[in-house]
Amino acid sequence: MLMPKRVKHRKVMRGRMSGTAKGGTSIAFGEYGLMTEEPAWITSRQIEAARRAMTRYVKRGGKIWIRVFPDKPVTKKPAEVRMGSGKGAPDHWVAVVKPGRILFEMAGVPLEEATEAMRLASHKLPVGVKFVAKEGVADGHR
Amino acid sequence: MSTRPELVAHKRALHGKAVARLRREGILPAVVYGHGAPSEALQLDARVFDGVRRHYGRNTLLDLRVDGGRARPVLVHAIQEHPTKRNAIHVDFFLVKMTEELTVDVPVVAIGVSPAVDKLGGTLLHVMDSVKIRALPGDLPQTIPADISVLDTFEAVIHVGDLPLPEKVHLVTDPGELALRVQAPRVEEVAAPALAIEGPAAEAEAAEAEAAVPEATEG
Repeated sequence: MLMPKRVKHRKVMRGRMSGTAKGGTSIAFGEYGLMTEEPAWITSRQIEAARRAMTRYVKRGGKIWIRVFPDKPVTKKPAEVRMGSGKGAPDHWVAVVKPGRILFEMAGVPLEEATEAMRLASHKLPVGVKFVAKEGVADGHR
Repeated sequence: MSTRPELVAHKRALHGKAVARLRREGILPAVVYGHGAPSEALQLDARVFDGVRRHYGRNTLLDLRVDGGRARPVLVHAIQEHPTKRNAIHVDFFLVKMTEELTVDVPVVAIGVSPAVDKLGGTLLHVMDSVKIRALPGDLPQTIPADISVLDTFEAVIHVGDLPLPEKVHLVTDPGELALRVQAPRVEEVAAPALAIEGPAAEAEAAEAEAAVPEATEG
């Protein structure tokens, strides 16, 4: 699963997810992409599950890019512990995404296959997503 | 009479956040500038612009007629898109002088069939989606075709210098840069390596809590 090699601070504040994505909103590497329509914290497990779903569906063909990285630590208090006594221990990693962010990209597979692979991947994610294609790809220009 | 596609626009009186009202009415805010001319706020029909953009591509010279005035040659310089709806929310038009060379990005389009993709099952990678060229506005190509039939092995590559350029068009991008190649198919799924959370900055702090981070330290 994806996680940072080292971090400056082990615990971070939660922050807000207002507005839309400022970067990573266009398809940069592949021909097709999966774009989030909602803001969310996407865990490294969800990213890995979506990646596996796509990789298994397209089998040998194609190439997949993961455009988000879970670099935010999420802490959790142990079960049955009273509130207080400081912040909990780091539990997992999440990627903060806002509407418009491209989560995955794919190339080298036909449109139908990419659509289905992305549909399977979307079921592993906690957000509503939209399949997008690079300009000129869907109508067969490239 | 020029053969260029024509766009009809009107002067825009609304500026700033008030343009949201125009967008709701299907009107696209735009601006035109270039060559010392003062920049001018415009508005045009969003559907007409979408049709022109889809039909002619990005590097086509257009005739822009503002309020029934003289048609002026312009290029679409920048398009702001809505992050989720993907429609244009603002357009920049650049006034061109037909006798002055321009530097623009032109998309590279793969043509033909690569044996490495067709027979060996590789994936065609557009390492470079577009190349920068310099030419007179009248000589600007819409796309640059790249014949990928020469990509017969996974080692074969097409450099920017190998791309066929029309006459009177000069390449600005480094000709030695990689444009297209074919990647070998994946043999099997490779698991991501397990990575640790600790680092020099957090080592001391992490030591006491390391046992409490099973999720982060597992693969």
